[in-house]
Amino acid sequence: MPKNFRRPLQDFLLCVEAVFDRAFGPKWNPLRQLGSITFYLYWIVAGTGIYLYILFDTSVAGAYNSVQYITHEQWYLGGVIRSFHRYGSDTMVVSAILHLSREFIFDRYRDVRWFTWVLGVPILWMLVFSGISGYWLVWDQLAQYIAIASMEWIDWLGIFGEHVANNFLTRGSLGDRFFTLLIFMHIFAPLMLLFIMWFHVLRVSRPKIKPPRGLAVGITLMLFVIALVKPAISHLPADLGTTPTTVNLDWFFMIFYPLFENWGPGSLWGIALAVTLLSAAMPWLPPMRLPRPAFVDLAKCNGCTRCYADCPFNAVVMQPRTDGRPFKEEAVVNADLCTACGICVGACPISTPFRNTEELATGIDLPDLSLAKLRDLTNKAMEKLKGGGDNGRPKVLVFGCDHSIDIRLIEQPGVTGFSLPCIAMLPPSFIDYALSREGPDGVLLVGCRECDCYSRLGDHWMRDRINGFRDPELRKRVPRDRFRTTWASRIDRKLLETELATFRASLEGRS
Amino acid sequence: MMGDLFHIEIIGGLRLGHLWPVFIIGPLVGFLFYHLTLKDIFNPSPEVKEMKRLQKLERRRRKDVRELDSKLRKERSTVGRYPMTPSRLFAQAVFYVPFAFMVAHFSNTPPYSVVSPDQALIKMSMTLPGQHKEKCHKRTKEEIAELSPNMRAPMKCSRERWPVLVELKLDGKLLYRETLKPVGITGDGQSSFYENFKAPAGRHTMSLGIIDDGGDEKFNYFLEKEITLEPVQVMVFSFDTVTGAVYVK
Repeated sequence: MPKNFRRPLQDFLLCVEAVFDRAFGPKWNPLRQLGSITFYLYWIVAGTGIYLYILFDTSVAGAYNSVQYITHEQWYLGGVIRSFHRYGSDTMVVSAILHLSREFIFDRYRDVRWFTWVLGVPILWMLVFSGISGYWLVWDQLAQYIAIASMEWIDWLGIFGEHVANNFLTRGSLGDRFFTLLIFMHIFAPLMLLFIMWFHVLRVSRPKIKPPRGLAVGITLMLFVIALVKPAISHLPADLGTTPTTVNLDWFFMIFYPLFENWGPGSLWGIALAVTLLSAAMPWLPPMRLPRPAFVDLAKCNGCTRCYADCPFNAVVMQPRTDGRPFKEEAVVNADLCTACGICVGACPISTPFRNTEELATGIDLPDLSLAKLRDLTNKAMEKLKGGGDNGRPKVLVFGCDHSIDIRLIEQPGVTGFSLPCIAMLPPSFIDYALSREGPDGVLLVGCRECDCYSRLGDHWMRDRINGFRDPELRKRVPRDRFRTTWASRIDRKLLETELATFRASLEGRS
Repeated sequence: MMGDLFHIEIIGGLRLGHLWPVFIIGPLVGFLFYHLTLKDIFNPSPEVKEMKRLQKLERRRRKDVRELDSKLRKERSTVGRYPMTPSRLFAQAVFYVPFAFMVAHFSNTPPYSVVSPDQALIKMSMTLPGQHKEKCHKRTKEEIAELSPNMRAPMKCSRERWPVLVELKLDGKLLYRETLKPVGITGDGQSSFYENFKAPAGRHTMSLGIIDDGGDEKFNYFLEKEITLEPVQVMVFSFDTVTGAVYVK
């Protein structure tokens, strides 16, 4: 597979997201909230399910009529709730699949994210199973068709002595006890789904499980409108003595059934197994990425917990002091969880380039891009700016992000810089450092698009530090008009060029 | 004196004497409960104390982080926030509509055709035991004597059964021919058949042949039957080799 096979897909998605940004704003952009939307829809489906269960008759003979009562007699409440239940679960499938696709396209599923990705695979299966088992309970012709087909599919495995599908052989062969088992499955599966969803977000710090309020209102309104315009209704009641000729499949959950009819159960099991294994193995497929994790220098660490608070993957933990120094705790890096984004380096109050020690060191650092190296790169860039001019135009030092736009694209006389693994790796004191020395007239920080940081929280933390909401803050003495932040993706070259041009123009005006 | 004490009524006919098991078993249970559980709560070991201290620290830290986050949420939301103008709300609605349409549409359309209205479904479901691979024979006295006393059954029967072959034809046309092994690790279970066939409605001749003794040519059971299929009918067809009963419904 070519290394950059994702690039066209990424470019496409970035274009689409830019359009959504214009309508929703970065924070409400649904494409950046797909995981939290899925969680929100789960609660909608679970809540509406509880109401439906209260009115549902759990016997074979009564199930259909009770659903009909809910749908038609109580259309103003039960009917709307049933539609919410149905369309909410459909939307959940769509949001879960879009979420998975987006993480794949943006390559956000490997290294330490493997745990979250791998758990996403059973979530999808459990989601499909939850949905299908719900359709059985209506006990209409659709339920009859999918229940029998599902049982025939399971029977192919030969794990039961008798065929389970025999429970649906003739009129009267389906007993209340078996039907109760189906109901139990529909309760058990969503609970299991929630359990796995909880595990899914366990390793990430501050997981987004609640969408922004505006987005939640929008989705709820959308479901409400669908419920009124096209309420969920049942087919004719199930009759095991006849076969339905046509069924209105819910294609979000039941796309497998026509495949089952055409390819047979064995092929479908093979495909399901292959897709599951391949999906679960994705994080370990080449090209492999094995970043060297951050490390703590105990001689510099005072246990201030800022790295602990800012790490987006819970890779930093605080433990009792082991070196006898008069601090309560020390930071410890869990190498298995560290993505080497460097946000902890940016959070450490010791990370300042102003020190005149022989070797610059900080409390927590990256082996591949240490703080000392970061200062060297800054010094070199400033030297370069000192040397080359652009007919007296203001000189700008650019700090970029490896996952944002390539800042080499805007390099020109009087503009230079370099990239970091995440813009939040840059301690704010570096801005002060650059502007208090000879060389740049301005500093431009370039990070991923707002609310779309590759390292999850980098844009938030950087903004907070600059605005003085979060330690380490940018010192007040730094003139605010001499630096600027730009949140841009790889395709936002024009935006960056415009930002740079206006920034330089503003600096010109200042001088 | 003691007798009077026992007869003291506590409430609603419950006398103190009725509580004697509580006085005897209660302290015993309390003693065990203290040493197994309460001791750790009231008098924890240094390790437990340290663990609790760390847990408390962790809880406080998380609370601080949460409080800071909630304090900052308002400020943050003003940073880079896009004002919700009517045109922006309209644009959002424009995005919601096609998505809603897509969800509502694929939720139950396009319809899927299971069978055509002039077809019926034949379901064959049979669970057939193949014959035993070895015939039962009566043990001789010598054979019985060789066995341990608890195993001295007069008949010796092997458990393993032959696979069963089922052949089904409709109007002379082969619908199904399959040989299934008996279930079970030792192959002593039954062979279970389940299959669906779509067929046009109307009169048909159905024939069923079964071989259950390991042979491959001559059917041990064979039956032919005239059936009438109604449109969309599900006709269930079964046969029991033990009783010879044919089930058609």
